[in-house]
Amino acid sequence: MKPTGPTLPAAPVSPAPAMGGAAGRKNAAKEKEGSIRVNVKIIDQLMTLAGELVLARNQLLQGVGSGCMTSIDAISQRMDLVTTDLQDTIMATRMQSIGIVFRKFQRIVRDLSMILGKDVNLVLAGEDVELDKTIIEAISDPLIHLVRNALDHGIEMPEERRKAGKPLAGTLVLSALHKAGQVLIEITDDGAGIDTRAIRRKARDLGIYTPAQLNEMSDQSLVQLIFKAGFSTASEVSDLSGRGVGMDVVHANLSKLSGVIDVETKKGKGTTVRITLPLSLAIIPALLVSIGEEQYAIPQHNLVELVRVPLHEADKKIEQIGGASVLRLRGELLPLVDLSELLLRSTGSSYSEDGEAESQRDAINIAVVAAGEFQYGLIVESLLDSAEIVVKPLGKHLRNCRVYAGATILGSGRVALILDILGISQEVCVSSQTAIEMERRAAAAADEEQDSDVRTLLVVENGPGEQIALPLGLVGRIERIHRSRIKNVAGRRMIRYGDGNLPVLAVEDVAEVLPREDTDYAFVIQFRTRDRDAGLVVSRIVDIIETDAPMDRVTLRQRGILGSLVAHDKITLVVDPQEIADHVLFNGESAEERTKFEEKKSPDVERKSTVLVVEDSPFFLAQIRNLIADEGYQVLTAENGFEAYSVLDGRPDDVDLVLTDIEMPVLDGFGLAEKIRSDDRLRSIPVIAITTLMDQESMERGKSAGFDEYMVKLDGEEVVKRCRHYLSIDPSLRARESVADLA
Amino acid sequence: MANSCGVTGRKTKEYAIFKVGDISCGLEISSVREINRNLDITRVRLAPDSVRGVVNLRGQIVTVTDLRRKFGLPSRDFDERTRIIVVRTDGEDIGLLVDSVSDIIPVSSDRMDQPPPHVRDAVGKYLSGVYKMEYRLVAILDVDRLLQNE
Repeated sequence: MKPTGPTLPAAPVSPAPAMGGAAGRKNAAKEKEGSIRVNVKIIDQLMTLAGELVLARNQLLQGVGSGCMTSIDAISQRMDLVTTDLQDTIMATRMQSIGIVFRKFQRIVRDLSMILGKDVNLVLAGEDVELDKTIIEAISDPLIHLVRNALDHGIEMPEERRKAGKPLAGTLVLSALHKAGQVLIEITDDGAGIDTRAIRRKARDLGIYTPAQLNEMSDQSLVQLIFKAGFSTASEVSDLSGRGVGMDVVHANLSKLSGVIDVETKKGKGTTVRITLPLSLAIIPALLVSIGEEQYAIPQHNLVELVRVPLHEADKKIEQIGGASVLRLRGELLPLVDLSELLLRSTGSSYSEDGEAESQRDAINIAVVAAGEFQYGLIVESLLDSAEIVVKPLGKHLRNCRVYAGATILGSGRVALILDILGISQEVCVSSQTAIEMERRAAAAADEEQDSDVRTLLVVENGPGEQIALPLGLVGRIERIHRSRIKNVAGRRMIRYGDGNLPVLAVEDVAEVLPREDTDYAFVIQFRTRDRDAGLVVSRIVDIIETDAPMDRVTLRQRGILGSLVAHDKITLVVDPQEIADHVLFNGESAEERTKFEEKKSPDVERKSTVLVVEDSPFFLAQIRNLIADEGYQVLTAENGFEAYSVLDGRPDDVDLVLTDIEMPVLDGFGLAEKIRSDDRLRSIPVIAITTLMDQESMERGKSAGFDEYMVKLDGEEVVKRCRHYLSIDPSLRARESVADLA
Repeated sequence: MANSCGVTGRKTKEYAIFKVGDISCGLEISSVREINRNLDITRVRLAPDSVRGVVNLRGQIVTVTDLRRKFGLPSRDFDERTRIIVVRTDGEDIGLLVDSVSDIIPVSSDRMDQPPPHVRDAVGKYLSGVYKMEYRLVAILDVDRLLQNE
């Protein structure tokens, strides 16, 4: 149910004298709010602005009388400025610092910790962050609730803290800061965290979700469940370590303020509750969109970006998975909600099958919106304009329509409804969980295709008209720089970068391609190679694409170029920045050679650890091999489980770690792991799965097959970190460990 | 309020008489804030069926309820006689969309009858009384009951 109540931003501060009539009908709630203390400076400023407004009005009357359009034009500009200033100043009269609320907590925390017998330090930060008076008043209660929760259930008793090796006194941090036109309030404790297993159990007991659904939920989405109404009764206090009591009320109160709440928790480490609030509720920037004749407003603070998908690309970028549409956006699947479908409830027609209206459009407009951490795309017919809108509440008959946050009056005098982004996601039941579900289905669907590895590539132009691409995963950041910033030092290109210098490479340094077009501005793509940063200079950035187009590794293969594929209907060379770096910075020795070299150099180091990488896609194989080799390990490779097993069989004592893909021809990763585990000679070798299949079911299966760890492909750093971890464990210890496991 | 007091203390109240379909209805004038023909109604999708939309009433957003739909009649297009009667209930202004407003008449309480108990149709739910005019009956509506949230 949509929360209601007098705390809703009632009539906004209305500077317009035309509202005089309405002032007479001031309701009781308004009078209850009482008085406010305003800085004299602000009052003076208001006086000045009022004077200017009167002046502008007189000029306007004169201008209209004389009928001179140019002077009216000038006056309207002036009026525009004055009203904007007036609006800002009047808003300023309502701003109060959050310290008023925060300081109350010193006493609350002291009293509570005494009662609970806990030792708690309260740290306040950002007390001078200012918020609208209505918000300040309404935020107090939810904050008290959260702080009390943190003290009561978050922070442990001193005895437990000592056992956990934490400082005896718990720390509670209350902080506020401005972030992108919003205020972010954080309540952080270093307590026990929320037990997600208990939440999972509870959710299953309550029957809100099926076990299968729960298994697929990430910890993050599980924690969000505490905001559900069912989780808030007293009997669950012990089960959920008490969190969740009344959290649904907190959630409801905050949504009333257009606030968004998120919880992040680490078991044993603590919990952070993050509240994002708008600065003011009365006047907000918004984007106006339309469906047919109807106009709707999307609050700017919910808006992430706007995406335009040309119709001819729609089939490629927008996919239907299990009846739901998703957009592929920079490697992630974004659930889509068709606003007209939702509001008009037209049956089953989707963007592509829709009749004439659709054919007149040449692109699909998508507003990517965020409700908390969760994002989705809203398909709208057209994007109109952004405007400052005055938020007005809707009447009681419409309170059950949770897709609206309120209404506003447009310049034309007509009413436009403000969309409630969170409400819409609830209405159509899209959530991060469905997103995961979609991801899984998409992965499954992709598996059916041959050579299914979808690559995300950064497409750039280097030589005039010559398109090249590089794996996005390798790109650290991209910077646009003026040509004069690239300096030639000792035959090498460098740019100043932060405190140091960044060596800048070009594709033509190594590969035989057209030289870079010498434009005024160039783009430097920063990437990491062997513990240092390097930059690759190109003339312009074209696009980021996802492609499963097959890569030709023969025709155009040369030094620095992995192969070619077709992107944007053009032959595109896929470069290997590592290889370029190898040749330019390390005089041509490849990563593996260098490893050998270092080995010779330091004979005191014992035998280098050897990692066997099993991966059927040459593209990923090359990436992972380079990563591991960069760490200084020896790398062996195999293209499928069977091949890998023959390698192991031939030299059972040489391999220290196996990194394997799951889906491979001949013998898959599960099969390989089972084979390794059942072989006495190989049993103690750690086996890590690197995969795109991260659902609970395959993880379970992986565990029983004997994987030590399950990792997401392409999270290069993490893969390397885990490898380092496993290789640092003494092999003899490891053997004992796995024996113990078996027992 | 010229004839507000009768001989025996009978009270006379004024009623706004309007038509919804074939039904003549009356509302006590004290609950009516204004009658206008601001028909620039913004449709609210997914709203309850009886809600026609919202209008801007001098800076205030007012929900407009279509009495035709409330009474189970098919709604129809606006014409030059269509009006919105703005009433206040529960601290909130609400617009009632009616086919036409015909009159404002004083009614003494002795000419007002209790609603017949067997009126069970959609209108019956909202009746607070029935008033007999010379040639027709007027259904006097209870605003609060009419606008109760269903």
